[in-house]
Amino acid sequence: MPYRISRLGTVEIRSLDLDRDLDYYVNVLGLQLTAREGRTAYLKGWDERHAYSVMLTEADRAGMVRLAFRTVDPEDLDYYENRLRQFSVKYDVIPEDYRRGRALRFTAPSGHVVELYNEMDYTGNLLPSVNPAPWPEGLKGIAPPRLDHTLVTAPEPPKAIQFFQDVLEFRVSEMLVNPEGVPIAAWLWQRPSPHDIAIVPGRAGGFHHAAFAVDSAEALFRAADILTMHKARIDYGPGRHGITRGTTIYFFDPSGNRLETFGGYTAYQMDPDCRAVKWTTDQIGPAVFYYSQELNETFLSVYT
Amino acid sequence: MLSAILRSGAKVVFGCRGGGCGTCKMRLISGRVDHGRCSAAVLSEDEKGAGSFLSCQARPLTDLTVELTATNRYRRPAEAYWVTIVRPVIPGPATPRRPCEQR
Repeated sequence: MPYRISRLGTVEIRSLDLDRDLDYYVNVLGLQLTAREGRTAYLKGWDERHAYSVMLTEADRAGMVRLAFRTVDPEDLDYYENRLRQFSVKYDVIPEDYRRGRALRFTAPSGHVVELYNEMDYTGNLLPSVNPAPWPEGLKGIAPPRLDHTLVTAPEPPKAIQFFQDVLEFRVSEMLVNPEGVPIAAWLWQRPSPHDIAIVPGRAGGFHHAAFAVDSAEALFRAADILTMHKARIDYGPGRHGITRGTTIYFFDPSGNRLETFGGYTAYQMDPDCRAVKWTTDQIGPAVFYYSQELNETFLSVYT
Repeated sequence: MLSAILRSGAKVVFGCRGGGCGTCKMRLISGRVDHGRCSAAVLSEDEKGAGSFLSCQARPLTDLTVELTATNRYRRPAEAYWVTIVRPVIPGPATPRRPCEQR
């Protein structure tokens, strides 16, 4: 089975106060502001090649508006359109969006608005495309190179997990199974990494976090320093997940949305024939927070 | 409000501290607050009218008496959340209620 999704392309996050939150996303998280149109700001990590990966939209609530996956090739969009029809999934064709081409939009059984697209303006990263340096100088804040993954909540995780597996052809890298052997949480991938999206139990449409890559232990601790210097609300970390092996800091934006710096440098790479790793619910502690070996009280109850 | 409550030594559960998640929602018994900026998804106008407020956002305008809710009254081991949230989910079709929606 070929890869048809190259990455989690965009997430649209709600902000209770766009001016305030934009200052945080640009100066503390350290994303690049690429445009602001009305109530929405468009941002991205410094190493992302397309026009944007994060949309921050002012609203009367926190949470996620939608998430979008970018397909590898334009034809993959037609392939998925056929699959959506085959599985009788209702979808809309969105002819275009800001600096983006045609997209398919549907609601997953988890209650999330999901889009698939291929075309987005290629703007390049912050480095020259000829003879580049390894990283750009003058970055602000944590300055993660890119958006990595998102974790969302679903009232019936097995149904949502199956949808992503069957219809969108994601594969499970790791899962948490209850004593009856039912997967109640799963980490799903297409890009050869531990996950592009993960699903845990919770309310329909719930937004647990969006994660940004940090590429070294030095960057992880520097991120924790920066969050603390700005009195940001750290939820957990620096630490490590048992699941995915990634290092982590969970923290909240000023509207209460959880974000993560995810240390993909400690995570493994999936191969197409890798089989899912199982975690049992009695080991939920080390599965989620490896060093403290117990779940904190916010992981499964606090999200937007 | 939340800072004052924590300074008093009371152990209460709170979440995002940004007015987004609703974990720190409490009820006024007496007094008035400025609600600050709260997500309408976790604190509706009706709830405000009935005396609920998000303690991480609210500022006191008078002396207050407040009542904690089952969600934030005590710190509980994480396993309690796990049971609360997961048990109704698997394998039944019912939508679990978030702790902050429980009364």
